Amino acid sequence: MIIEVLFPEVCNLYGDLGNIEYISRSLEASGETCEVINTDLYTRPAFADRDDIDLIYMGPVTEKGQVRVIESLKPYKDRLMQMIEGGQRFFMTGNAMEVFGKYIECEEGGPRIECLGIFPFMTKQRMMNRTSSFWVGQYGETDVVGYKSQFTHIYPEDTGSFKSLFKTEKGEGINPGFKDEGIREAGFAGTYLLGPLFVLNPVLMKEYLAEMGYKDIKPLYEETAVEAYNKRLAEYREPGRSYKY
Amino acid sequence: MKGLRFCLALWLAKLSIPALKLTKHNATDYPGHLAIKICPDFLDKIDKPELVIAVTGTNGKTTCTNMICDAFEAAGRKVLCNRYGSNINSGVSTCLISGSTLTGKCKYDTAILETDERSAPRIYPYLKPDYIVVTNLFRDSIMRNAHPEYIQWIINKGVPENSKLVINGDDLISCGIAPGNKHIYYGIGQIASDTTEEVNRLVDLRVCPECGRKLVFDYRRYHHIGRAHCPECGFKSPDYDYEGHDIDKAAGTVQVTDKEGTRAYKIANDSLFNIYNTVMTVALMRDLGFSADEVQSLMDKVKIPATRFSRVAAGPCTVTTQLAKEMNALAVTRATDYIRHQEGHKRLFLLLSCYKVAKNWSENMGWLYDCDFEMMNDPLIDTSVVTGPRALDFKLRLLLAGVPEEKILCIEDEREAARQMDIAPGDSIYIYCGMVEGFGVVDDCRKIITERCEALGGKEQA
Ligand SMILES: [Zn+2]
Repeated sequence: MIIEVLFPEVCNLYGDLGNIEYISRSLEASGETCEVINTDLYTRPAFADRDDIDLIYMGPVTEKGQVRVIESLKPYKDRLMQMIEGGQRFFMTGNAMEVFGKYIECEEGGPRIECLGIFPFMTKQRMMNRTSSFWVGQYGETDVVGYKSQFTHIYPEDTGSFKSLFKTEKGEGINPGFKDEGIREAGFAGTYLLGPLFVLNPVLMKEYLAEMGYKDIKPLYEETAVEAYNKRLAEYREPGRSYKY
Repeated sequence: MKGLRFCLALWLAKLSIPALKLTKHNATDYPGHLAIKICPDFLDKIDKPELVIAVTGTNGKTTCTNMICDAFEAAGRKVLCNRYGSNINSGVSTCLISGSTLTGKCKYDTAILETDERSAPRIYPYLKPDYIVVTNLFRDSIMRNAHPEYIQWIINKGVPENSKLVINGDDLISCGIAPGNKHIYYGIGQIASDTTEEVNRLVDLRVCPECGRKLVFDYRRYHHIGRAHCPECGFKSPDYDYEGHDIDKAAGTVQVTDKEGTRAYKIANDSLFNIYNTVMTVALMRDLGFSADEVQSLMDKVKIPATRFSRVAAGPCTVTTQLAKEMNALAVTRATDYIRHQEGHKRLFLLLSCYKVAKNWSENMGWLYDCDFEMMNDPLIDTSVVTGPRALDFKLRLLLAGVPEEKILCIEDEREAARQMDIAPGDSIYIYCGMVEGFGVVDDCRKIITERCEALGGKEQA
């Protein structure tokens, strides 16, 4: 497998690069090879010239870093659109997906940051209003757990046609008024869930890799990972537990 | 005139202190909270000492506040300090209330106040500190602190234009605080263990704050601490006003050079983190006009508070309690780096499951993947005990860090884990404790472990 990690020098908050480490080490332990290409800000991404990248990954970033990510990706907007239409796999965590929307509104009526404009949603950023919660829901039939901690929420232009990545069982969706979590457009997936998500959800990782053609990959230290996952699932489902904190 | 509302707030707050103490409630926060409720601009109105020093930053605030306080007390000043109290606006107000007379006059000449970095906009504009000391800025609790760029932004919202900043010049994130204010830079010059490579997982600054291109580190101490420059736009680390160098661990000293010359000062503890704190204290005292001779003798009386790091001999073993803020990858990494370089075999007991909050929710454990648990994969670390509600998360992380499964003891019940861990004569046991005040569990586990060590009989071999 070949994974291109976009801008790991800034898109690395909340331990989320643990996702890539867990995927690549699990693949290798299962006898597959995994090449990770790290692409820096303001440099030419590998995806611009190659068609053999299995997964493009980007993690959570600071607000200043997010502006630099947009600047770095803008020259490749057409290529990104063409790849998304062609079914290229992307996985975005935290606020990374926001750069693919139309714009970020920094405060009520305040300045706007123009984004790539690939998907019809906008983002509201409220720096004095950080929200944190935990979340439980499903990817298809598979139970998923994760944390959320953010200053921002995305708002689709047309909620009716918006495709979510996960169904919410308990927790907040992509914004306080929208039930489900994440975005899925063909091979493009984005979610606010942190964890790192694939470490917290070995079952999800297995399923996601299988969708990409890597069947029967055993998550590293699967027994402990699944035990931790089951414990967390049970805790989050406890009736008395509120999900917001 | 301060007004009736202010007087009422002060008196009621003052009255509440003995009542809270009598009923064994924490009296370090509520009186200030009450005063602000009655008089919202209370912190602005209350009389302050002649010299006000605020201490903030991600790690080491409490240690630094204590060290500065020790130095001032040794200098014979009447110091008001929240060293045992809360560091948010209500805590700072409580501290000032306790230092004022019934007529609102301040009884002290100096205030040294630890201030929570996120509370800066609610404290600094009213406290108007003469000096703001910044220890460092790193990632901290994901929920509360987001990332250091956010903390830098929030501190900037509160810094008054006349406050001088005492800043770690080796931390380019702190250096970005209040760029228009007077900065006094301290730091530690290049040492043998510095590298140019990235050796830690957690590096909060990899790109130039000005242009976003990759920074080049001339040398790196740990994480983003070191000296760097940007080949693209010329941005670089500032020159030091106070430079620590020639650390002599055997003599327990660090040399500090300032514009008047070089002098050796006693260090309170030989971890680099604490040597920074020593250099910071020297820089502050010297900038305030104390002579090098005076500061040299004051530094002899400066100590690291025992709640941060305490070691007791127990039978043929030693038991060390190491405060390592949970949810804070930096604190746990630095503690482990220090411990692994100590001589002899060690066993680690990790009490880092965020007990304060675990009952209601689960703190984001993503920090485990920013923390260098790989350092626990060390031939001289014989056991790592993971326990508490998040024990399995720690176990998985240790396995991924390469720690052999047979060296990990995973038992959810903390006291049971303390009873079951392997202990042998000559062991150095380190209890990583994520919280300052007890919650019973730290004291209980330490007691169980200490008694088990003592039961082994014999004296510790030095
Ligand atoms: Zn630059």
